[in-house]
Amino acid sequence: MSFSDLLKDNILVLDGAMGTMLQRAGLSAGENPALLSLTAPETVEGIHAAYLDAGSRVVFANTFSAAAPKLEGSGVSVEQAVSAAVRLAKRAAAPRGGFAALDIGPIGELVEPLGPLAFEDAVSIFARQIRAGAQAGADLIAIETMMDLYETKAALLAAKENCDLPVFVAMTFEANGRTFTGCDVPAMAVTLEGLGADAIGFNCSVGPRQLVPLVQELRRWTSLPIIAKPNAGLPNAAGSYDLSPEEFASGMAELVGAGASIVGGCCGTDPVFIRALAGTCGTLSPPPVPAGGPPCAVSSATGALILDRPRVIGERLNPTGKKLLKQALADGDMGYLMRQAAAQSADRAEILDINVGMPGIDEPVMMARAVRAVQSVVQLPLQIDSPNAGAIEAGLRAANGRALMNSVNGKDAVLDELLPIAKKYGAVVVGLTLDEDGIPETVEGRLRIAEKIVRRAAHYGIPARDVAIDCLTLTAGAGEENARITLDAVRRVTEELGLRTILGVSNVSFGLPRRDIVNRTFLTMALQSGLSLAILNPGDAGMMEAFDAHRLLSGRDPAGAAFIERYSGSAAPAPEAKAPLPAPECAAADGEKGGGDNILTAIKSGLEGQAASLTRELLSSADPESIINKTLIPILDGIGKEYETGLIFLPQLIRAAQAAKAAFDVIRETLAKSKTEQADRGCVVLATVRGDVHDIGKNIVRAVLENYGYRMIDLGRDVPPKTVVEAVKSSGAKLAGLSALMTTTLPAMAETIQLLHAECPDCKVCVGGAVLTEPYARSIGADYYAPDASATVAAARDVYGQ
Amino acid sequence: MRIKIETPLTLRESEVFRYLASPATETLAGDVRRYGAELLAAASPAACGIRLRLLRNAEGPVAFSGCSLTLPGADARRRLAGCEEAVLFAVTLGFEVDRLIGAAGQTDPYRALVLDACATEAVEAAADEATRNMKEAGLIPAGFRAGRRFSPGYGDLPLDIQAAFVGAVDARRLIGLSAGGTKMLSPLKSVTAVFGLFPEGAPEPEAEGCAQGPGGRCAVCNLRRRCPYRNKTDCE
Repeated sequence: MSFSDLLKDNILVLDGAMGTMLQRAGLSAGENPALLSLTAPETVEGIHAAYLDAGSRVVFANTFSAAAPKLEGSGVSVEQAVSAAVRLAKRAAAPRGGFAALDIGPIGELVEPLGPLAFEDAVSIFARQIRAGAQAGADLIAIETMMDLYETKAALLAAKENCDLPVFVAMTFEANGRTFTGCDVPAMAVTLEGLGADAIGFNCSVGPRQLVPLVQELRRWTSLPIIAKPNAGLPNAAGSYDLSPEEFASGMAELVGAGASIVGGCCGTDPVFIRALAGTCGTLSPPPVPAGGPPCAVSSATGALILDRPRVIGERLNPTGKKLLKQALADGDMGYLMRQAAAQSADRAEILDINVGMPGIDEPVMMARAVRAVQSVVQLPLQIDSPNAGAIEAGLRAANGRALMNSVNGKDAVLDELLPIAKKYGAVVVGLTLDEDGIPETVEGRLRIAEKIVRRAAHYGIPARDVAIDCLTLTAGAGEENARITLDAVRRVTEELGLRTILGVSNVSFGLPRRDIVNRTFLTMALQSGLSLAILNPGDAGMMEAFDAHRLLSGRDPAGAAFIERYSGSAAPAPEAKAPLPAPECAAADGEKGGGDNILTAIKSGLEGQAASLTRELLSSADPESIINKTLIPILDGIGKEYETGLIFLPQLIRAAQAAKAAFDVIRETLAKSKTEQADRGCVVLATVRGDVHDIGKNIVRAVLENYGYRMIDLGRDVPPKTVVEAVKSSGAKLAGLSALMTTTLPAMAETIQLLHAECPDCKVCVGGAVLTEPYARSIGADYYAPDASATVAAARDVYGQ
Repeated sequence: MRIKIETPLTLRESEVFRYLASPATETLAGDVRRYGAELLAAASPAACGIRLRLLRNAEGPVAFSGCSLTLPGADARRRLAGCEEAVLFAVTLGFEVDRLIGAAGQTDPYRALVLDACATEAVEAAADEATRNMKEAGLIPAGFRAGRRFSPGYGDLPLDIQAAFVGAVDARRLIGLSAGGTKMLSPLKSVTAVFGLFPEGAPEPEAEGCAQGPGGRCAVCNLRRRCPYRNKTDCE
């Protein structure tokens, strides 16, 4: 019987714990168990045989800890450990009609942004074990005990790219229904099914009883076979597990009833447990998969978003027409992108569109960086937006969770190039109704292209439910029928073709006065025609109001509760995208003379609103440059001096810097309106070095230096030396600021300085971080040592002059 | 084994101000309270630990029975002198705290600074709470008390042992805590620590150096010569 046949009609019994059995055989704690396949092969094979004789149909080879980093220093290679282990499993399984799984466990350190490991490095580490396992003849891959969805994605991709074997994936959930990194059941199901897992589920952490609600939930979210491989109950005070084999088996039967069809045991189980399990569950029928299939959803790392009602896609991360974003992309300033993403999230965007297309940058590389940067600060599903197949693939590959692909269209070449990529990464496909002949002028024409896209998607294994059609928003000003044709097409695609629809709304009003009126009306009409996904600016209050009102009026807001809460006078006001929680605006803040009637007091007291309004007042009687040079900079200098002399402290310094920023933002707005180029004082590149993610200090330096008029490029955290060099080269910066908080990341700092001095001799380096001292900073070649934020101002002035 | 931590934790505000390197001005105090509450709401404190018997080797790193982890350096030896057993444990606030602070770092560095200081204190509070619950968990036997805890990176106990330490207490499996190549703990707001078990009533060995440092912690701190918080008239 082939392995796939086995899955279809039976409860599949896996094995139990290997670690427990190895300990019982007296084998050493502390040494990597994977080595025992070479030093104690009879014992390992004997454990497999015992499980098979007890009723296991699949045994997991002794490869859980065979990742290269775990074998380092042992003298044994991944290939040796894996092939030895798989051979033993196969030798035990063959005469007993069993199967041998290559067991893939976590690498041991976390993937970015939660940890220091790069995603592609994780993929390579897994790929090496998988190639070795496939070569040694494993029957399937079993990825287990994963707590991080991103690391799980790396393992699953590695499996799909390096062999054709079936892949089981089990993640470890805590009693609160999430993994330690916050992944919930829907996010897991949506992401892993999309990536092509053959069976998904849970192992370790808890006993059978605790898994019941999780299996029930997973059953609603996937049509794949479900794995349940819990521990022998919960640990008691003595450190052993609290269930007997019979209690365990009866708990497992309950799990089969809840929907699991692939069952086994984890910590604390042994062949006696498996025998009880096989006896109780082996003859049960696998439970039916619910009719209708799981909901269509996209996901972030921590949660899923069901596409069963209209959703808002934030459009702001698109460089077209956005000077500041273009500059940020050219500079590699990921901090800017992160702030834009956070603002859209605060404005209730439910999905974020990411587009990094502009001349002069490496779009695939920048797309991957942008995706990772955005996902490090917001937990929202993404829409990867590019006409460049390489960029789309890079974005879908880098995205955690399940994303949308924006877009394919009716052209054969595009469909055949992009649909396989969408299939590989499990993306929801956005299809534009245009083809080699351009954009059809009739509704019929657009429907025909929609049908073609769906047919071709089906050919590549993508069902219609995973396709969203963009009927294209043409400018109403260029043709009075344009809007009507689009809206009719949306209605017919929804009703006749049964497909989801998506539109970028703002284009309808291009060239017209009062674009805001046109946009929100068009949005309302589109929603009424059945629009599922609206790409818009969530910071546009009028658009969000129209969206909320439509939801209310179409009966999707039970008792109007959401609308009432948001808009009634006594409720919390609609969130402001930019302002953080305001500091209490008390007059006598911190011993300062009260009143807030002058800008110095406002800034020192951290009163952003007052600082901004006072600046506006000043602008009526003085020009921007003189306000900056004669008022704001001296205030900042005064505050800096108070900090240095210990009259104020770091929190007050940073609060003042943020209030000053509010003042500077007013000036910048004014200058932008008058189209005056504001000369910056010089460019500074900032980064927390490779291997380190501490960045509080770096962020404070950024805020302080920005106020002094320096153009800041914040590369973010865990930044490789090469990336710092590239940013310095492309921006022409003469100063780089490096931050590290651990003694173990100082070598990366030294390496970065060395590379910078070699390749960018005009650039000076300033370093900071509590672990540094002045002598050490000099010894690694730093030009400046900054014990605090205010010292970086001195360094910048030294480099760029007063 | 896992160790219970009762939430909600209580933050000692004086400690938060110390981490902020600032006195408690009125506005800052309000923000510490507000962001502290936000921080605690995002935290999922968890702890795990083991009790180990020390081997009787007179020299070299402190070693344990049934565990391959060793503790090099003179400070570990001094801290555990006279103990037959020690407890190794790990505490974390979870990844949501990392996300909260990381996101704030981009949009509001002041808030990130305050959240970060609250989180640093919250980890210590969680460690204290875990230690209080260790008797019930059986990690501290009747008739014994916990000595002062110290961690990899203190004194001459190197950070290098972090990955082995995390493995010895099975922290990854039990509380989702790992240590990577650069020895950084993930989640960031976590601590690993060891303390000796002393019979109730027996004094702890005298720590060298300033006896007047806060709680005697100065002796193992590498910044003791330039720390602004030490009482300069009484200390070396």
